[in-house]
Formats: sequence, structure tokens, C-alpha cells
Amino acid sequence: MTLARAVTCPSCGGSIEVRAAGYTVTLACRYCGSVLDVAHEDVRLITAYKRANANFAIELSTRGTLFDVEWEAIGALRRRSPGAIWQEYLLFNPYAGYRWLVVADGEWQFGTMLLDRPDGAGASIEWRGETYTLDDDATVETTTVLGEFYWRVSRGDRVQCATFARGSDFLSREATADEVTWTQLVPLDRREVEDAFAVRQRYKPRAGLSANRHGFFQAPGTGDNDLPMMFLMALGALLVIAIIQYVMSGPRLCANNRFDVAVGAATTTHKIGTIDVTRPWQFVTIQADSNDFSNRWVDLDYSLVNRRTQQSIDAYGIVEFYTGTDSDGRWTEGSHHGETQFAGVPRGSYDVYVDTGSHGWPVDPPANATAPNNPWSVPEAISVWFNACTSGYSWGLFWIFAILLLGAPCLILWWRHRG
Amino acid sequence: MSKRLIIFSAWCAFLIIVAGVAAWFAWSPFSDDERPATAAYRGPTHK
Repeated sequence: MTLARAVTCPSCGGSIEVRAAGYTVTLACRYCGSVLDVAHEDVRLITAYKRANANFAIELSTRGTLFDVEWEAIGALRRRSPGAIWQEYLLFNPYAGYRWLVVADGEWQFGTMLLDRPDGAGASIEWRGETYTLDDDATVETTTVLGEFYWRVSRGDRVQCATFARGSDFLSREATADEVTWTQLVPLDRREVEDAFAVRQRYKPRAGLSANRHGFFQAPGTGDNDLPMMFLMALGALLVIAIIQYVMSGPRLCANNRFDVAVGAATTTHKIGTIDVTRPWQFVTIQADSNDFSNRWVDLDYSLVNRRTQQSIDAYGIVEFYTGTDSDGRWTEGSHHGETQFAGVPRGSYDVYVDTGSHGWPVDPPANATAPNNPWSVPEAISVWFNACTSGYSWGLFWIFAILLLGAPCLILWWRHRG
Repeated sequence: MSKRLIIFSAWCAFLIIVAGVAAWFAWSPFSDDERPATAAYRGPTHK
């Protein structure tokens, strides 16, 4: 006896076998992932979407024997609730009908749909003389669909799912607006399933992972809802790092000065002042602020010269500002402010020097040029105020620590909610 | 406390220690001690 028939995917033209023809109404194309309505003679495309990398533990069409019946895996779902992700496989045998295989965290359950409904409601129900107590009640969403099913199923379907436990046996109630279905779930020895269905290696439990009946539905990485705690710890650690950086940046000792820099003239050297680095190592930060100018830049080459050893530590800065007009209108670029940071300056007393040179864009104005019709005019110059201080900390380093701390919980959050 | 949380705690502690050492030596990969290679050209770059 065979119930199989072949249909052609209207999306990609692939030939697909419907193994339970007459029962199956929804079928996902194995080639392109399109979801098809096979209840009609002219197979209709319900939705077409690029098939996600399914990564299911059991390959569809695989046959395996459980409870002395040979089953074929004809459909697979990936589903999730707020605290868990798991996979469900629809098994089919032409004589025995449909069954379910459910897997989470390497633990397997065998599901049989109930024809007789349990009695009772609320936190406790009775079925065939046995009492089951409410274990979980959550909204379950289908995130991936692969294969064929005897009801219309699509990605994004949501049902209210309650599970009732009695030892290691479960009764699952799934309720939609149209119907309520009950399924009995009994545990299976994972080795039995692995042998029967050639389970992919990466879905076998990790070494040392113990079975946890209470957490049966919980997928790897979701067993403990520790994500809020991880975010809290990351933010706490970031706060500690900020405090450490702030406390260890001081004390703040400054020197400041102001110089006029002639545009287009040769580079000149100025002494800003003397500062003392009192900690074993400190940052030194120099702020440069200029008066208003356009289409000019000022090169700033700083030197910290140790007064005892005459050794020099160099750093580089710039102040530049440009304006213009183009087809989009008026634009500006740059700033009249510049900040330069020395890292790892050892303890000592330092003279702070700056070599300044200013230039014009797109070309330099003539050096020492005056207005031709104004003999009293002076050559163009830019005034720059310097403020050199010990202390300061690296914001770039702080954000690197923020990424390293928040990266792991963000990655787990993404992994949980990925399609 | 899950095994994952213990590992993450150790990771946080490690980064705090690294941050402390970096702050003590006033170390940063973003200091301005080298003139950038683009310093040869000056002018607007947004167009």
C-alpha cells in the first residue's frame, strides 16, 4: 500500500514526493523552502521564502523503528517559547498514522495525540485515572517549517501550550482559536532514537550533560534564565571599570597658553608651560581651541620634554575647519577644537612644547600677505589656546571593554531570537 | 548559579583586572603618539 504522490513546486520546479497523499495539506519544498498547499490538485504556493538553514537533528525522509513500528520523518518544526527552543518531528506510518518526536537539549519524547480528553481544568487534570499537575503554560511560536503536515502550518504560528507532568510523563495541551489538541509525551532513551534515526552528531548531548526531567523542554543555552543577570553583571563591571579609570587618572595639573599662528608661514615652536606627572604613569591631554576661521588647518606637533633627562615624548594634533557650497547647499567640515592624548607618560616634570604651522585650502595664501589697499593690515593669523593637563582617560578603551562585556549576553539574546 | 554564569563572572573579573592594569600604566591603543598616514593631505574629505 502506498499513499505517495509527486507534485511539482510552482516556485522552483522541483519534484517533491507527498508521502501521505490525501492527508497532507501543507508541504514545504525541500529545494527552495516554499510552503505549498497540496490539498488542491493544482498545487498552490502559500508563501515563498528563502529556506533558513534548517539544521534539524533528523533529516527528513529518514526512517526509523520505534515501538516496533517503522516511522518516517515527514515534517519538522522548530518552535520556541519565552524560555525554550526545541524541535518537533512529525512521524508517519501508513498503518499506524501520525506520531511526534520532540527533542530539546539532547532529550527525546515520543508524542501521541489523545482521542479522549483529560478531565478537569486549572493546575491539575486527570487522565485515565492518573493525576497530572501543571508544569508550564506559555505561548509557543513556530519559527521554522520543513516537510509536510496534516494541518495548515506556517512560520509565525502561535498557540497557547500548557504542559502537565506526572513524573517523567507529560500531557501537552495546545489551544488555538479553532481547536484544542492534547498529546501524550513519554520519554525515550536518546540512544534508541539516535540509532533509529541517525541523529546528526551535533545534536547529541554534550559530555557531562545530565538529563533534567523538569527542564525537559529547555533547549541548550536556555536552561537557566540567567540572561538578565549577565546583563546586570556586565553593566556592573563596566561601572567598576569607569570608576577605576576615573580614580586612577588623577591628579589633574595643568599649564595653558595662547599663540598666534601665521597662515602660510614657516613652522614655529612655542612652550606651553610645565606640568608635573605625579603618578607612576599618567595620561596627558592637550586641548587646543582656536578663534573662528574657514578653509584653514593648523598642524600641532607636541613634545613633552622631561626636565631631568631631556627625553622627549611626541604626539600629534590638528585643528581644521572647512566650509563651501555645492549642489546640496552649504556644507562645513571639521572643528575649531582639537584634543591630543599622550598615553603612558612616566612620573616626572615636563616642559610642554608645540610646533605650529598653519595652511590654507585649497592653496596657501602668500606668507605675511597684507591687504593691497590697506597698508595698516596685518598678515592673517589664527589664535590657538592650549590647555595641557595630566589626567584624562581613554574613551576608546572604555568602549572596547563595553563591547567585550556586553558581547556575550547580546550574542545569546540574538541566538535565542534568531529565525 | 549556572556554569555559564560562573564563566561569565570570571570573564568580567578578568576584564576588570585588565582595565585596572591599563589604568595603572595609563595605557591606551588610541593615543595620538603617531602622525596618521593621511596627514600628508589636508582638506575636506566628505566629497
